[in-house]
Amino acid sequence: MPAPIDRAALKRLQQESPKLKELVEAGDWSTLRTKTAELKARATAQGIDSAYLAWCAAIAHHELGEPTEAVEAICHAARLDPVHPAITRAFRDVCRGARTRLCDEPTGSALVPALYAQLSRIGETDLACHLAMAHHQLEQGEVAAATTLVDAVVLVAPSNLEARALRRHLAQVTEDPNAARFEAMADDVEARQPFGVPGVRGRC
Amino acid sequence: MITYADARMSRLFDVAGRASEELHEKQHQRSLASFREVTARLEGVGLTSGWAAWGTAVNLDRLGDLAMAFETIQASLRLDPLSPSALRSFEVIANRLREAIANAAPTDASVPTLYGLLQQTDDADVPTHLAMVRHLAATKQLERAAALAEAVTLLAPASRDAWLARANVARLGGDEAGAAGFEAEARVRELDELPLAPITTKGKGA
Repeated sequence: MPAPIDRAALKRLQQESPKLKELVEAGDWSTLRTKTAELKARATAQGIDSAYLAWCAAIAHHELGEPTEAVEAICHAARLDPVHPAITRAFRDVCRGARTRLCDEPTGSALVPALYAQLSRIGETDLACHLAMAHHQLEQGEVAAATTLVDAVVLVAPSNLEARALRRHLAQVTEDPNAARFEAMADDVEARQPFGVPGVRGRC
Repeated sequence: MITYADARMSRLFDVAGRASEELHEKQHQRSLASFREVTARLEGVGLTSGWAAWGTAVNLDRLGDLAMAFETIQASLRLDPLSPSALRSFEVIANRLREAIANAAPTDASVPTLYGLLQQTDDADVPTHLAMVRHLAATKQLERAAALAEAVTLLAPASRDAWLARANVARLGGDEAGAAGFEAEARVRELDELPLAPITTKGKGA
C-alpha cells in the first residue's frame, strides 16, 4: 500500500507550482529549470508525477538550448497527459527545436546521433534529420551506413536535391561504378526542382 | 468613382472582384470560371497574378480536383513564394492529397499519380509511402514494394504500420520467415507506448 500523502507538503506544492507559470511568462528560463527540478523532487517524494511540472521542465530546457533534456521532458509530459493542448503545442515546438539543432550541429558532434536516436524513437525525424545523420556517419567513416540511409531518402524523396548531392558525393568517395548515373540524376532533379514551394519537410 | 486608363484593366478588376465574391459565397464552379477568366485576361495584357492562381487552386480543391489544385497552388507560389494565403493553401491541399492517397483503395490507379505529385515537393509522409507500398503490392510490383517498405522502416523505425506493411510484402513474395521477423518488429512497437506525436495536421507537421 503506498505511503499516505503528506497533505501539508501537498498544499505547499500547490501553492508554489503556479509560480512556475509566472517564470514562463517572464521568460526566466534558468530559474524555471531550477525551481521545476526542486518541485519535481518534492512531488516525487509524495508519489506525485505531474504533467504540468514535466511541461515546465521541457519549456525551460528547450529555451535554454538543451534539446535532449527538452525532448525527454516533453515526452514524459505527453505520456501523462497526451491531449493537453499546451503539451501538444510544446511537443511540436520542442521536436522542431530538436530537429533544427540536430541539423545545425557541426558534423561530428556527439549530439547528432543522440538526437537522431531520440527523435527516431518517437517518430519525429524528417528528411533533413536523416541527411544530417548521414553526413555525421560519413564524417565518422561509416560510409556503408551513410549510403544505406541516403539511398532510403533518395527512394522516398527523389526530388530532394541535398539527398541527391550527398548520394553523388558518396558514389565518388566509394568510387562507385554507378557514380555517373547519380551525377545525371542530380542534374535532372535540379532542373525539375519546383520554385517557391516551401523547403524540405519530408516527414518520413 | 474609380476609373482606369485602360478599359481592359477596368473589366479585369470587375471580373476579379466577382471571382472573389463567388469564392467567398462558396460558389466554386462559378468562381473557378471567373478566376480563369481573370488569368486569361491577365495573360492577354502580358501580366500574371499569384492571387489569381491561388483563387483557382482553392476552387479546384473545393471541387475535388486535387491534382490540378496542387499544380496550380505551386504556380501561385512560383509567382509569390511569400504569400501567406498561398502558403496556407499549399498546406491544406497537400494535406488533402495525403489524406486521399492514404484512404485510396490499394488498386486505385490514381495512387502513383498522387504519390508522384507529393514526391515532387518532398511532401510525402509515412502513411503516404505506405499507401504506395500497398499499391505496388496490389499491382504485383513486389520488388518495388519491398524496396520502398524497407526504406520506410529504416527511416521511420517507430512506425508499427511500416513494419506490418513490410511483413505483408514479404509474405506476398513467399518470404514467410522474413514476414514473421517484420511482424515481430511490429509487435515490439505494439508493446511500446503509442506514438506520442500529436496528430499534426500540417497547415497543421513536423
